[in-house]
Amino acid sequence: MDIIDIKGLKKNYALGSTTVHALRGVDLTIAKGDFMSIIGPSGSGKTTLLNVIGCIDNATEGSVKVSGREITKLNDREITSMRLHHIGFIFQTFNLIPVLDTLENVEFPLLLMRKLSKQDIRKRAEKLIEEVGLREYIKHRPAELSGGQRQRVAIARALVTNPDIVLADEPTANLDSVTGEQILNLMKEMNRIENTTFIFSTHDANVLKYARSVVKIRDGLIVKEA
Amino acid sequence: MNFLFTISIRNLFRQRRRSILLGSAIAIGTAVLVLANAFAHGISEVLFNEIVSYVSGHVSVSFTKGGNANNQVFHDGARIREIINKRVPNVKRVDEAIGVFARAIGNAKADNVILVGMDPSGDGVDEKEAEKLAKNFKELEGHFADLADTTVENPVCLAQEKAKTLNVKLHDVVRVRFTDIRGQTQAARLTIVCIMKPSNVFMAAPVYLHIKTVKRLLGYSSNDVPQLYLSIENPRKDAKRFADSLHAGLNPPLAVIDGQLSVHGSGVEVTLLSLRTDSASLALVDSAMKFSARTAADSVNPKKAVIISESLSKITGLQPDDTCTISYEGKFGDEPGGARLIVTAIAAAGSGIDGQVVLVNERDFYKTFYDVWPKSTVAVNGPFRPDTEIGIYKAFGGEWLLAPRSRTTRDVMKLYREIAQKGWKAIVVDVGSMYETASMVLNLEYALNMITAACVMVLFFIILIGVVNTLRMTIRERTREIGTIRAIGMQCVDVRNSFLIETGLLALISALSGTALAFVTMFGLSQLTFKTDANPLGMLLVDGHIFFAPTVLAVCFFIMLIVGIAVVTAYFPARHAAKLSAAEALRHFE
Amino acid sequence: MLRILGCILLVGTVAFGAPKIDSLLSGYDDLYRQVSDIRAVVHLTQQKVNQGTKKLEMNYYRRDSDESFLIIMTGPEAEKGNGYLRVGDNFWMYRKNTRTFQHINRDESIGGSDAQGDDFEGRLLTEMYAPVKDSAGNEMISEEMLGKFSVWRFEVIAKVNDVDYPKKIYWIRKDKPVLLKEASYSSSGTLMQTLYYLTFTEIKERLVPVKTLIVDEFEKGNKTILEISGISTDKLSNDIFTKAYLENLSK
Repeated sequence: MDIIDIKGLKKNYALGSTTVHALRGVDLTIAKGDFMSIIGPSGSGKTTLLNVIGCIDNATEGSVKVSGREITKLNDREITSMRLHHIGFIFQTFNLIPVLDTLENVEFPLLLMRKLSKQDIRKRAEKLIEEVGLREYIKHRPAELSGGQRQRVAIARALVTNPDIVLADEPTANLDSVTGEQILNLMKEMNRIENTTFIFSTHDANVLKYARSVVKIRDGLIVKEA
Repeated sequence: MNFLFTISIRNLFRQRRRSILLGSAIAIGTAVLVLANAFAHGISEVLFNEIVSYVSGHVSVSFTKGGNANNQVFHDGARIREIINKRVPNVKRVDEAIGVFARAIGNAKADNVILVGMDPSGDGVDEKEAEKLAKNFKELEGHFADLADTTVENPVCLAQEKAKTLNVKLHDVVRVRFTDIRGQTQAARLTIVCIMKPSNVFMAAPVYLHIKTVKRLLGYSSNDVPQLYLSIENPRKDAKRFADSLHAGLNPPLAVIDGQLSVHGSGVEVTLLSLRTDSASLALVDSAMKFSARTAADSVNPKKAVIISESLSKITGLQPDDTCTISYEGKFGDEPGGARLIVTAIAAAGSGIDGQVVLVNERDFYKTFYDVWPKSTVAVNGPFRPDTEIGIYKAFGGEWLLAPRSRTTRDVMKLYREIAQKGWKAIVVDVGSMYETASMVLNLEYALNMITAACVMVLFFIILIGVVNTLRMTIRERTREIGTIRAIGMQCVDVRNSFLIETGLLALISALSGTALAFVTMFGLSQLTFKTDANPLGMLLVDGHIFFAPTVLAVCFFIMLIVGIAVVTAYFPARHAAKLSAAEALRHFE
Repeated sequence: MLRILGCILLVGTVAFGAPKIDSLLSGYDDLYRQVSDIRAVVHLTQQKVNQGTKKLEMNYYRRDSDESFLIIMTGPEAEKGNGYLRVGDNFWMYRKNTRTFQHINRDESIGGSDAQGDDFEGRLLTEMYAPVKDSAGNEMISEEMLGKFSVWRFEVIAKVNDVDYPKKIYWIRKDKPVLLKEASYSSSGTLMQTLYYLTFTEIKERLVPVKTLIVDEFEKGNKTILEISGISTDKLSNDIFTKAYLENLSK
């Protein structure tokens, strides 16, 4: 079953007086539980594609179905809710909330959902923190953690809502190679345990070996799917 | 919602320096605001409770006799008090107010003084009042309560400064010269039983005697009351209303004197009515009355008129220029009242006064009426009662003259000028509330409130500029963070609210600190003692100290106002931040 | 103070035979009624304790028919040009520096002196005072020496409330019926003021005092000397008792 179904996706940006055609007609389907990598040079449209899939950027043209819903027709409230309930994000620069500690950062999306009790939230967050191996750092603020640790927190935060898809934009770019590998291993492990679809972008060829499938993108067009 | 608070509070402390700077500005502003308000309120408390209630009462009733504002007397005091009790519910105190200018001679030193009557243990002086009194009149030597000592000749209490001016000490005698209510020059010896230090200069000028002593010296009889000052529970709310109600209750009944008219040894029962001499009444006499005989050939001089009805003329044989005497029973005491009248005209039948009636010019009428207040009233049947429908009715005088309610101080002044000029013979009863009589005092309060309002405006701009700038900087710095939380799934309104909560909290904490600061400052300032003996502003001090009267309501209101202004000011930048596109925000780099 | 002025201008030879107090009083009243228009220059020298001496000078006009009067101050400099006008029931004060007339109360003090507006109202002594009698019912009248003059001394008490002093004592020369001294008492019996009529001049066969000493018995040391000169009893023009005349004089 396809969790993502994209047809004829175009995305244009206005940059001063010129228009940048970031995506020029992308067709792509991604199966549930996939561990997919999007590869391509800087400026090829990787991040834009991830942003559109992640409902944080809208398409200029085309159709994008995420978890069976056509997201191009949703309003801000619905699309925000979509992000919260169906999508997890892992950023290149970790993007943790600096005033919250590890536990709070992981709990944060669940709190926004306003669904679970405080105890259940705590339990779920602690379980994930344990899974990413940060049990000892549960009360540490982001500034007190290393890059790898921060990204682990980010992974736990992304997974805590049990999303259908986790999008990771160059998750290892700001990490040394050893830590990067650990993170990818962790992601793979989580993909296995939680059966969550992972889509990550990278321009590092070494990372590709972890991917179950790979999409190559160049100048806003998919050039190869494997 | 809880986590929004958590984030907001942590964000607040995250940018500590900026928060402290803005917070301090708001705190200082709040402190000034609370301070200004407490000061203004303190002053108005002093004005209303200490000064206005003593100087003019919250509601006052004056009785101007003979067109002389200094001559305040009403001869049927019990009746007035009854009306007051009926018309002014929960009146706290009714003070008899007498202040008379006098020349005082101490030990080889003379000075002008005001003799003021007071009753330190009178009705309505409860414990709180007594305490206030003790605070306002700090006894230095002797006892204030000795004003009531009947074994001492005219006991008097005066301020330390006054004692110094007159070169007198405790138990010394001060001689005073003054004019009594009859206009006679009087002299008296006052024995000093208390030397005090008044809480404000305002109270230092007069010398204080027991109200009974002053009334005796000035020639008030036991039925007489001077001007009355009413203190009420809630003057600001009720003063005007009660004054209006009291005014309505003081409408005078028609003045009648039922008595025995004697002529050539024989007597007949008659009723005397007062004939008003204002121009409207004179016109009424001209138009409504016909005379069958009169002294002057062409007109009746109403100022000297004594008009009898034709029927009375027939019974008694009285003709113009004839003299008759009237005697009647007085309301108070055994002494009968009486007058000697020379008839000036005889009203023809059909003039509306057919019967045993004598119309007397108001000068002679009121002289008699007020000299011995008659037992008879218009409510009880007598030899003659006029029909209220007749044209001339309006020319008959009442037992007193009720002045219309003045609405402004200017009206009050105009009224007293008119009273003096017109020389009305009837006692002019005037009801005033502090809003007219003490409008100067109220203007001062208004000015102080304007200062508070100015503080609010300044504070508003501090908050406006401070909050807007701070928020803009904060939002700029936190753009990526906003992008992240939006990406994670925080709704637009929550983002906006987190900023509003953050600003609101900053304002609240600052306002609370400012209030605390204000209270500390108030405590400090009220510890200072000012020497203001010669400064009239000293009257605004209590015992030489600045008096602050902060109210919980006002403080809460100011805190809410400040938080409100801050939140409203923060609303637009916060909304702007919330509306940022998540993708754009995530792309943002400083 | 100016009441005295009014009275003094009226005092003259009292025509009476037997020394009955009422007759003395009514004689005074008769004289008062006989008075004509008057015009005079008045000098007041007020001496107050610790305040030095103040000299006032004024022109005084009085019309007998309706008791109107006009006073214009001619000295000192600060008071010069100020005036008072009474016509019938209306009483005005004129201030030169503001050029305004102010309607004043009858009880207002005149020129900051002790005089009051109602001091000028002509009232009959017999209406106001009655003789004081001793326990035996005899009038309190006695013979005395006042300086070198033999005088009648008699006491009167107020019949009505609205008089300045409820009790007075008069001294009148026996040989010539001339008032020489007058003492005023408060109702508590305190001597408040004594008047000494010092010198006289004869006008229309009446002796008019032209120099009077007024002693404040209450505040010892305060005294006033009142001197009158230039007395004329010719009929005065009606134009004098107008606001316009007062304004003109003031210029």
